[in-house]
Amino acid sequence: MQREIVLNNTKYETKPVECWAKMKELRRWHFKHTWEVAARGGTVFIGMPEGIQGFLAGLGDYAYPSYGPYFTRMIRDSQQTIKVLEATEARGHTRDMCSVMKGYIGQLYMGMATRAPQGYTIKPAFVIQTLNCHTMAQTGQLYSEYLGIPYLAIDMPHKSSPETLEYGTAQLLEAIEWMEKITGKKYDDEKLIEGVKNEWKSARLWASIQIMNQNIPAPYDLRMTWSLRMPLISMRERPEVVDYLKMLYDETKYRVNNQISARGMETMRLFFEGFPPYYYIQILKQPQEYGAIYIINENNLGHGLWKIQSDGTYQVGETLEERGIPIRNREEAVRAEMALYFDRGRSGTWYFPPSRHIEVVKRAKDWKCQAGVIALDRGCHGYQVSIMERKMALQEAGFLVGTFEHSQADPREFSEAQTVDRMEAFFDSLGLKKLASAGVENEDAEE
Amino acid sequence: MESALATLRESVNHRHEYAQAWKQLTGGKVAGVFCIYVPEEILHAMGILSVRIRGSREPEDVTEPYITGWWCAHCRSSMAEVLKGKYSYVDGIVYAVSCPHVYQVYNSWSRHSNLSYTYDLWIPENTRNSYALGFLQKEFSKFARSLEEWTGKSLNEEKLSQSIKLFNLNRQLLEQIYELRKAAKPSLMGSEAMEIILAGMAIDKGEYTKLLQDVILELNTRKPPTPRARLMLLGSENDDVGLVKFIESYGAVAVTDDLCMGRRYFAGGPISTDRDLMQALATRYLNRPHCPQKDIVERNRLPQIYQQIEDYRVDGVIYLLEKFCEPHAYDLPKIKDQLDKMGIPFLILEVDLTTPAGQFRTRVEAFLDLIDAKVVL
Repeated sequence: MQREIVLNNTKYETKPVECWAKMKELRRWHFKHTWEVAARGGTVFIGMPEGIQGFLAGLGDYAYPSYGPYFTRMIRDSQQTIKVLEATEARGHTRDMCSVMKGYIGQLYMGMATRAPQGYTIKPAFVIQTLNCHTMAQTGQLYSEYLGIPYLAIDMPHKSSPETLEYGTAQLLEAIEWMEKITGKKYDDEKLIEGVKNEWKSARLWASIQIMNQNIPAPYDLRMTWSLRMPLISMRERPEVVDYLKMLYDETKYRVNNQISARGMETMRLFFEGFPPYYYIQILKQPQEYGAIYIINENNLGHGLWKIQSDGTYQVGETLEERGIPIRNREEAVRAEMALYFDRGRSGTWYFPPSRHIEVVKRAKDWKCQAGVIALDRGCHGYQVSIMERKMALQEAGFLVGTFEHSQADPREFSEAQTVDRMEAFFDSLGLKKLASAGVENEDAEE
Repeated sequence: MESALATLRESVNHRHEYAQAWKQLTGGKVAGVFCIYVPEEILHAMGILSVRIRGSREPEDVTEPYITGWWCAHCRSSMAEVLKGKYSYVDGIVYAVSCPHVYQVYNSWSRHSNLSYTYDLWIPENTRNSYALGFLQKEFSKFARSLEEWTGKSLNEEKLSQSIKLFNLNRQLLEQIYELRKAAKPSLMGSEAMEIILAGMAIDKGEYTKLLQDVILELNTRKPPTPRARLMLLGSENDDVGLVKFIESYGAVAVTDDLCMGRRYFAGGPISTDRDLMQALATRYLNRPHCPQKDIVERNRLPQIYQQIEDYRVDGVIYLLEKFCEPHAYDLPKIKDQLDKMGIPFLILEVDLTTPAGQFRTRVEAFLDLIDAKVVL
């Protein structure tokens, strides 16, 4: 049975997010850092070692620009994005491959993936990839073969068990020796320990911040948290990011305590499942025209440390101390890293959990959503697993669900006019009315 | 008397009826399996009939509530068969972790049915990592224990050893059949080879082994013509016998393949029964010819494809590329580059639930003309 929809017409105080500038500063630092490390002879590698960033800290002076440093710059320019995608297709890859990876691979073929802004090219020491996504796994292989550099592929089972914990730990311990051999540099266990502790703190802080978004009014909407999480994705193991997240945590607490809302109104709180089109990220702001907000997203939460209950409830995960996990040496640090990997939300264990349709409903309830949108993304195959099951479960629970199709990094697969129109029709059907100020951009330094 | 090949073909065309009859006759359980990485030897040793879950390759309109339209045809078609109740005789399902598309079928089926058993089994993606063997050995043991709980029967070493030996014989016979295809005048069409493999995924392995022995005898009496061209088929879970027949209807013969429903199902040599059996099984599944998704770091798939081209004197390669099949799409440029170097013509046919016959005819004819011209020159 459809849930009753009640519009909240209360007006709340709002103000810009003070940590926004810090987030942007960290992002700029991350970009520059790759070239600085390369210039002083540190270790630069390439890949998306999701969920084991703390482990990398033992490399000391290191940097990794994902599969290339210019993805964000590319995606903001649709014409440039199309050129890159076409470069991938010209080499013989198909149009229906993951558009994000194609966005990187095209840059590799065009010589951009390893080119510094100053024009020179660097050769990464190796490729590292956690095999929690088959697409990234094959991208790592392709990079390794194309650049002629070794490939460290860490096999990551999708379930947490004593066996998988041992399996992951053993691989990482072996990987340390492998990296020492490849780079000729000593791996620093003290830095590993600090990195793992930082990663654990970062993930837990992110979860603690997100849980506060259950408050009415919500301190942030999804468009804000989508950007605020960026340092967490790219360098969660660094102390600067822990400091940033502590600041953000304090600011969030202040906003909650003082009823400071994300946008001044939240006529309706909406979930947004799946990835948004990165080249049209403003789609996350569309509900504002109705005084509504998108508030929650599986991937966005997934970067936090959660203890997900069997009924789908997200609880903030425990600290290392609460878990009774000591970190005194290399082995304990690596084991803690794997425990964090398996305990993290959906980003770590990726797409196989059979309970996603249960969690999506509980999330919608706990974050007090009344309806929402599912982005059917032809780009990422992994995150699309169970997307229709999740839609069905939400509908069975009485939520109204709107959908639109796109490919997250391929502008050719998206019709702005059609999608905006479709979403407007959906919002109309929810009983939302456009505000008199609709169409006036809320300038709060988002990017 | 019906030929063994015809019997195998019948069992492919009536695979659901076969499984139902088997179940009635034996009172045993039927397990639907996804992917060639499920260790069927363990199921066999437990007295379970394993049937490969696949579709009918017919247009369907029932899967959209469960699977998006950009999931591969194999998965949508398999799910359609499930939803239409064609697999109502299946008692349990086993998924060996491979691609997300296949997982979706497993996931939706698990959620919307009253199956008494579901199991997803992690198969390492980096199969060559130092710890993969020990890990998979334990995973297989856990899998065996779960089957014991499900069936209420125990698995003993002797039974498992016998099943492994039967599968060894079975694979050896399939190797022999593929060996016959190396002849200048191959006695077996590619479409027939696919039917033979598909039968093995549907019927009892003991019965299958006997039929394979008879097939070899039959093939040795054939007097086939010299084919217009010798082709190799590449691809994933392509089970479209009609499409292979269509390609071969222009005078060419598919003499070998690298398909899930082809050589990848059986190749890789025998399993030793002189050591810990779970370890021996894990060794096989880690060292078998891999699909692109499991062929990470050091590849074994591509060198084997190139070797087959030499061994089977292949004139041209056709990639039956499942639309939306990402793992295979990744390898395309690399394969194409190598085939160019080898001077082997290469054609990609992007396949979906429906076959654009007119377009494919033009492309296959042009491709074979190209090979003809190459042979003359």
